[in-house]
Amino acid sequence: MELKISHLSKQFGSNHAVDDVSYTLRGGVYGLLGVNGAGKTTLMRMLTTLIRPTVGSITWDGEDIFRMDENYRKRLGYLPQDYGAYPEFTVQEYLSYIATLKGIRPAAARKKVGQVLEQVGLQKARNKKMKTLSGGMKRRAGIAQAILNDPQILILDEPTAGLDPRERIHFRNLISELAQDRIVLLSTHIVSDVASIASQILLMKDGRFLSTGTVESLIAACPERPWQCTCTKAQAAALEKRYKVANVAAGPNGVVLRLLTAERPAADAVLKETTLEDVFLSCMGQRSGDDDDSL
Amino acid sequence: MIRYELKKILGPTGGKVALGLYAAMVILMCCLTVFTMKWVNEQGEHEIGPGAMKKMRDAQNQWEGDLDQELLTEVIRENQRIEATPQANSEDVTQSNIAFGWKQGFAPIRHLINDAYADSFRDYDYYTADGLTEIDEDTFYENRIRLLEQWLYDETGSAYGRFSEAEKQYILQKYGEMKTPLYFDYHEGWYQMLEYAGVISAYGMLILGFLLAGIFTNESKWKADGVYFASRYGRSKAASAKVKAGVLLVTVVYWSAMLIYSLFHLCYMGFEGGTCMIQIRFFRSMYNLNFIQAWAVTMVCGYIGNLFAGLLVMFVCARSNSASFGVTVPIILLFLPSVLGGQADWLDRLLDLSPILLLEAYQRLASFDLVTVFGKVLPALAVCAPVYLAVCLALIPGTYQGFRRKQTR
Repeated sequence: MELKISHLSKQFGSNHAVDDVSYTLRGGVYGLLGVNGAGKTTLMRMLTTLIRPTVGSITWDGEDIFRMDENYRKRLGYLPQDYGAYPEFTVQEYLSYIATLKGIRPAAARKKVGQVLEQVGLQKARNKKMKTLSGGMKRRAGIAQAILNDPQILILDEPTAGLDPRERIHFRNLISELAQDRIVLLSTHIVSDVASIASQILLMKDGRFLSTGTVESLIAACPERPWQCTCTKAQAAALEKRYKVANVAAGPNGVVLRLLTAERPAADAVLKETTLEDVFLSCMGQRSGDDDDSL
Repeated sequence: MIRYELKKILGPTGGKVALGLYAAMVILMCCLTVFTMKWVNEQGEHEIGPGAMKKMRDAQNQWEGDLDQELLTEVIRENQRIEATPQANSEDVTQSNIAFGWKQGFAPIRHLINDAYADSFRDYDYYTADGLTEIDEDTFYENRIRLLEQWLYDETGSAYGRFSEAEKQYILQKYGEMKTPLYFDYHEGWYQMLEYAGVISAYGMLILGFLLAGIFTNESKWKADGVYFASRYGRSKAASAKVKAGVLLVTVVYWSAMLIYSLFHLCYMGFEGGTCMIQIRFFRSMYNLNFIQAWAVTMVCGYIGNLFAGLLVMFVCARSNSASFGVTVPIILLFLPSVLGGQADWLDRLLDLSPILLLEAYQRLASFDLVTVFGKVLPALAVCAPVYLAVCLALIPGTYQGFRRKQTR
């Protein structure tokens, strides 16, 4: 079970959406983190055979996935970022249809549909039309269709978008359960979604992997540390100009800043425990997602 | 998979409305028959409805038989008798209507006489039969060929340069092959039904175009394409299920509409006259077919026309990923000939072979659309129907391949 990406690039006109990426995924949960426009979705779309790479290859156990065609896709479960469904289908019909598309036999499909509906908590909504579902319910239906075929490769692009905090926790638990004996690639820009469940983190920026590894190794390798200090508004403004700000909060004695820096930013600054979010901010810059992410 | 594809097309309100509109159109066309079939009664008044239809049937049945010397003479005599009545010579509209009413039983035969004794092939004078005092069976049928020959070889006529010598000989040969005497029977059911069958077919093409435009574009419209193409059969069986669903939809919708329309007409107006040659209505047709055969030709050609348009819509949508482009295909097919027609002879001849030919197959049975293929002269319908069918078959892999290779950003 090895999904290998070799020197993968995808160019749309002059834009290098993915630029010479190489990596090998084996069993476990992989968290793909990056700001909007980092190339996460393009990479995932190549991994799901939706688009072909400009350069490079993707192989499954040594075989090119585009040549494997449906032999590859039968192992695949995919939830796209801009996920939509057939508005006139009921949830049950929709999942039954996707089961047919995935080549699951009707009898097995009936059983499996019931099972996934229970897993995502949509049993009561099974006869509701897709167009009547709330954003969160639709997302859950999307997760249900992705896991219908017990995929060896599960690719989830922003799966928690639109889910409320309770649903996100439920979803994280579900992914942890599903992670056994399969590759789960999870893209998100919500760091806390992957921090606790991903065995490997892939930090992506400008179409490239900036850094990869376990949460612990990324934290250890992060050159900057989070410092907390309390100061006046004027001091806070000056510090914000010099350092990356992870958090700003109003405290009883002034402004409480969490700053990312390799050096102690102020005499009264206290070193805090580094989180994945700090690593993310350190790598991506404070204004993550903007064209100009300089400080 | 086909069932799901059909649900995707027919499930949304637009699909239901389109199908409902087509059903309403068929019903309307059937109702029009009830109200357009008129009988002029003894008081010179118009009657419509089943009673009027029965009277017409009884009147025409009185003239059933071979259109030979005896029957033609009888028609001329009866026509003369009516023409001599005060009602026929009255300037009062009601009185004239009464006289017209007496002629209704043999009116189609009277029209044939007008055709046969016209001054030239393209002339038609409603009063020609009124001027005849006697008739000869031989000249009645011979005139048909004589007038045609005159028209084809008249150096100043419109046909002279239009047909090659081989084509002229072909038309003359077909005229000569018509078995005489023609047999006359009540045939209004077939005649009225075939007259407007092309309209049903054309509406079908528009409606089906609208429905089929979504079959290859709905996934991207509903943002369901990611899941669809990433699934095991999204680029294989599911793509072919779309083509199959499209063909099934065309087949079921077309044949349902046409059979309902045909059966309504025939049940309401009568099945009689199916074996009469179409020449009892299209005296100048070169197609030696009876009404049942003409119905079969009309239905099959209409089906091929609808199938061609449907597959072309799917092909355009699968390649362009635009339902808007797809919807315009049937509109272009239907209206292009009338927009471009009359610009040049060569263009007119080309437009004569457009798919609309298949939709109005019955009307085309009265025309001389010919095609010369490898030196062999053939009727355009006999060439176009298989050619368009072959194009349909060629469009299927094109559509399938176009869709299956689609990349989604």
